Amino acid sequence: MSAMLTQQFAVVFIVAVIAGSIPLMLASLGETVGEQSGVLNLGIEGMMLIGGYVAFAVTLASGSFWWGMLAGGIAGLACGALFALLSVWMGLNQIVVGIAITLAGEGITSVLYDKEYSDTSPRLGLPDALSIPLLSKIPAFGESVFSQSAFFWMALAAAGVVAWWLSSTNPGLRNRAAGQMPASLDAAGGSVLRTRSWAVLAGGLFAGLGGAYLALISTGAFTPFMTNGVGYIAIIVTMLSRGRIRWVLVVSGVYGLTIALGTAMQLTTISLPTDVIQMFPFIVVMAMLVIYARGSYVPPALGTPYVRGAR
Amino acid sequence: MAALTLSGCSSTSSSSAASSAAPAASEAAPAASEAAPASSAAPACDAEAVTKFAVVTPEKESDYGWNQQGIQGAQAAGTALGIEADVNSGVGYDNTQSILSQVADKGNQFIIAHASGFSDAAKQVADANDVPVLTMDVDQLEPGKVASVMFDAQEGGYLAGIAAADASKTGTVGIVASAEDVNWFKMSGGFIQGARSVNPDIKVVIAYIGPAGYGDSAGGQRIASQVIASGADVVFGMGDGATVGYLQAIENAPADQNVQYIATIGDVAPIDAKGVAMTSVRWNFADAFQQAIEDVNTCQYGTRNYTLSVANGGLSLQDSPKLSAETKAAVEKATADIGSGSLVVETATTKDAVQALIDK
Repeated sequence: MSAMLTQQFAVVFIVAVIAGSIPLMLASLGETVGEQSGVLNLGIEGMMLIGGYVAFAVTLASGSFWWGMLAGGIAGLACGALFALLSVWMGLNQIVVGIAITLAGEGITSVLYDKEYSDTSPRLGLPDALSIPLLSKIPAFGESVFSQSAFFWMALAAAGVVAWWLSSTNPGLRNRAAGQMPASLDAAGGSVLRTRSWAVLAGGLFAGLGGAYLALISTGAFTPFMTNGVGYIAIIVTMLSRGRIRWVLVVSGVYGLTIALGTAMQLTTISLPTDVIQMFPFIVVMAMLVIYARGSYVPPALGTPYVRGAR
Repeated sequence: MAALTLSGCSSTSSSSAASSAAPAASEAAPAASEAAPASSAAPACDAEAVTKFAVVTPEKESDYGWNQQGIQGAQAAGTALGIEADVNSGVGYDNTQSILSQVADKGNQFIIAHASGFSDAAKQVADANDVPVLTMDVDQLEPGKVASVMFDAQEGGYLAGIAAADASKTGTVGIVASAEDVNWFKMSGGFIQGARSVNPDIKVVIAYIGPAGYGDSAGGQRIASQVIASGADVVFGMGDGATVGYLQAIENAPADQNVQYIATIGDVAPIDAKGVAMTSVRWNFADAFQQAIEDVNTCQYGTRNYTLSVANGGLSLQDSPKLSAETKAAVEKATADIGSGSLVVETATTKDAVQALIDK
């Protein structure tokens, strides 16, 4: 137990919380935008893997985390475009298309990794830290939170932008209208298909960035299936947060905290089965759902393709 | 890492090493196996000698661990016996029975089902296709059809513990495991005992990724980082793809802590660009596979299992320039003592048993 009371351990613990939270938060942001527009994207897990793989490959080739992160986002965007084409424009079942993209993402990235990198299992090291003057000197908290890479701050900024965009801009309101009353949006002159397409593209972009963050920053490497269900958890977080970005932040943070806490508890004299530790974040999320989100509201048109004039 | 006196094998020289080690292992094999009938008591054998056999692995050879060693062991056994080894890697855990049946239909006269998760399907295939099958870590015997490879993994862990305690400057060593796997428990228990044999006061910290986090590199990075932050300067790691995460954490640990890594099963030197790996507990399957095929040829197959142990060379600590002369001497003495039976390493087969050893 005494080893856990050191400053070094506190720094690593907080870094682990952040490493677990941010990929989930980014993916959940994208899913929130998509769900608010009425599109249920179950392909988020596959999009994260594709984003993570592409980001890893580009970073490795270019030596730049920036190029890698950009490439991961673009890869996610491309997946989003495919999803939009199939489910929004062609009206195919969103659940089927989403699962197909997830399975394809898992398979493609696994095959490519085995072919290109499995012999060497390369690692990326760490990105440059962006130390905030003075604040980064605060023991433990400053050394962890205020010494993160620039990507951490950009992710938080993205959450702020999405929150503002969804609640305070005309495009954001149109996005929500597409999920709540698409026919009204159509009657008011808005394009449901175009609105949903942009939302799905944003969802793909954020999923790709989430995967990229997981591979480049949280892990420093890519391995097949490395998301381990984070994409699915993002869907739960989105449902739980009911379109409110502050709840996305809170639940993602709780998830990261419980993940890190699970390891920390093993290092104490507390001996818990790892099954329990693995369940811990989900139990916490479910508890929060029961306590705070019993009236959980999902857009009425969620998962329903829009066909003009259809009743 | 070179393969010298301690290990006698490396990823690039398994075949020759296995060949050279074969006689010793053959001598030791009966002692390490179960219920082997005397040759004189064996029934008249009209079995057709195996000329082609298969190894089937759930993942690819590039894991630098279980799958790599299984494939290399099969190839070494094939070379030693002068027969063809048909490698079927990366088959996963779905449709195992049909995959094994297809492998049998390819004309293979013996199949190594290289995963404990293949055992049930392998037994069914052996019965249905009349092809002898070798399973992993499941104590089951069926004359002429099924036998298994068993592991005294705690003995290998003990050797690693000696090396870790000798190298540790902080007095804390760590164990990171990807899964709650019985062999990981055995290895961990042996590691703790080995470390305490050198330094009774050494502190051991342990963390698991999850029940089956074999490929969870992010989880590996997370638990290894926290174990290192707990003061461990030598980390003993177990677990396929999670190893990438362990290495990432160790490579980026504070430089003044000089954290070193002890791998398991395979040789991680090819992926250890920054030279953090001190050594590895190597698992050499070649002799066990060879013995099993010879038993098929002599109609004794299915009457005993085959054990990888320190005594028969199935488990060993890989030699490395990073091991001090004192460490090598201590490891060699422990190897000899285990071989002679004067040192018996306690076996921990559950998480609680491992924790009890830590708390002792």
